[in-house]
Amino acid sequence: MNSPLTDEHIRRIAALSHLRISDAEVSHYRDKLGAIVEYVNRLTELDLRGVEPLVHIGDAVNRLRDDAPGPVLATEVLMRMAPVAAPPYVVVPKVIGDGSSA
Amino acid sequence: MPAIRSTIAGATSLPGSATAAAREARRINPALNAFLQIFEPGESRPGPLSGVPIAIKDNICIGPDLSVPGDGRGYAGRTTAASRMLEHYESPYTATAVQRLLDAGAAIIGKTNLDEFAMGSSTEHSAFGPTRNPWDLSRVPGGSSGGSAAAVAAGIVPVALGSDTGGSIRQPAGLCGVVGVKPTYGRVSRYGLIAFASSLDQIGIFANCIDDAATVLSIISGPDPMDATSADRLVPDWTSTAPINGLRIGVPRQTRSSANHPGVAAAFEEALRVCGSFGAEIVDIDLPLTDHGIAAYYIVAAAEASSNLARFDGVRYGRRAETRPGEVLADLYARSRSEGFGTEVKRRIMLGTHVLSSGYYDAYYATALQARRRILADFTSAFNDQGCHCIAMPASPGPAFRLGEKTDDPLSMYLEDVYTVGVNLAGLPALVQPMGFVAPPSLAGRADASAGLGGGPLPVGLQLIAQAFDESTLFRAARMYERATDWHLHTPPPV
Repeated sequence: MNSPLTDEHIRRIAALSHLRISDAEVSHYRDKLGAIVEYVNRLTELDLRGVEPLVHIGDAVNRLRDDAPGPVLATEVLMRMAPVAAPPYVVVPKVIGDGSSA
Repeated sequence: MPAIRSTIAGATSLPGSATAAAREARRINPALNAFLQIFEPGESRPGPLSGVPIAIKDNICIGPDLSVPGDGRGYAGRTTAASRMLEHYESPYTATAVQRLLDAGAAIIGKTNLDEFAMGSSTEHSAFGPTRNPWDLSRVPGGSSGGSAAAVAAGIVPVALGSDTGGSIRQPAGLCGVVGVKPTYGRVSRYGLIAFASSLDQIGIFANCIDDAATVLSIISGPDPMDATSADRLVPDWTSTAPINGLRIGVPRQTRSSANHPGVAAAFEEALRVCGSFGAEIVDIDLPLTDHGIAAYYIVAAAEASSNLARFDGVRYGRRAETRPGEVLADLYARSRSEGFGTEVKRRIMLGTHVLSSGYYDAYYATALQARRRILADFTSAFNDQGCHCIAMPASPGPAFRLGEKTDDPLSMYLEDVYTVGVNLAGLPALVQPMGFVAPPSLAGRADASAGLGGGPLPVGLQLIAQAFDESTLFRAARMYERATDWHLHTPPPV
């Protein structure tokens, strides 16, 4: 199957998406995403010159509220949700590596 | 087993309805898999929905009510979005729409199955197994709100909440033969709805009749300080049953397409004939971007999803993968996300990342947003220039398909949404109601019939679309059709 996407591009967008995919999955996503990309390319058939992009529907305007404290979730509640925590902190692995891993 | 369709009036007139509904849900669920959790209903508050059993799609949060100290409703269950990522997630807060139901006395009896993170049109992309269509257990209920649609169609509950990003209420309502309402964008607060595509998502309702859908929508609608996109608009009285004099219904030429299943095409033409018989005028309109809408939708929705789902990182809540010695934070993110998300969710995140990535943004995302503007303008023209009260089209091009029929071909699954996505892109309200039955598309159904797997007629739905914040017109027009037909009274074979 001819895909408009290369294996290298699939690996790149997987990395940007913080997803790890195996070599077998690369060809899966290349073909399935390729077919979808091919389909959505039909948008280029439309003459949309001068049309303002519509980012958001509705007439909502920026809404301000009084700077007054309201009900909030307690720290203990949030800490209980964290898979690994040392309250009041969540625990993560080293943030900066030696540059060798993704 | 329910001999008649479950309604709010029926539930409020019978003490213990909620307990009976939970029992019925437990009995039927092994066959349907409509529920991911079933609760034992407690005491209900007095109110218009007192004791009425309601099911909630499992991407809508229910938590202990922290805003009301001492209001101990006990264990509120998990909110999983049908994902391994949130398999054990217990929300610390409750969605505004659910809170308003509880305040009105509703008894929440369970959380319903869905395509993972609401991404799908068949409920087969659930991490916890597919839901089956009560009309034919070998077929899908549609999706993504398939569990809620099946629970209402099977008579377990009179009302269920769902969410609709590109048709996720309307398509399953059609395929299960129930009423489904996708309100105007901003009509119902999204606070507590797990975000998929924030500019398109809207909570809505499944019911067995128009009156119940209108009653419940009036309860959950209205502005909410917790959602800045909730519209500061008056919620009118939608229980008015006055017919619309001189009802003008627009029918897009593009929806009389050869791509429709012949049974859907015939049921739709018959529905238009019925509308004509009660005095409605049917006018031809053009929605030239109907097909392109799919392309625009899947770009916009995937782009927003890739951003919204970036929050699932294994750190603050949700699934966290084991890391190996020497691995760093980025490895924790990637491992957790790769383990936690299913294939369809990964596809959409990657599609969204692709269309937003450097060098592709203008070609895809900006173009899709321009098409979105054009799609809204085409709808607006039908209402303003051609004077249509509403627009009619089928809910989807075919009846319920078989489990597994489209799972290997994501694109064919996406095409299910051809008549629904435009409404989300334009932010309009729309409603689906039963418009008849079609014979199953293949002869294979005959063999299934002897095995108790249906093979009988499959319901299809009529979709009505109105202008933004004009749900009144939708409900009034839909009642006129409902009164002229009895499709909404049919029930699926006993499970």
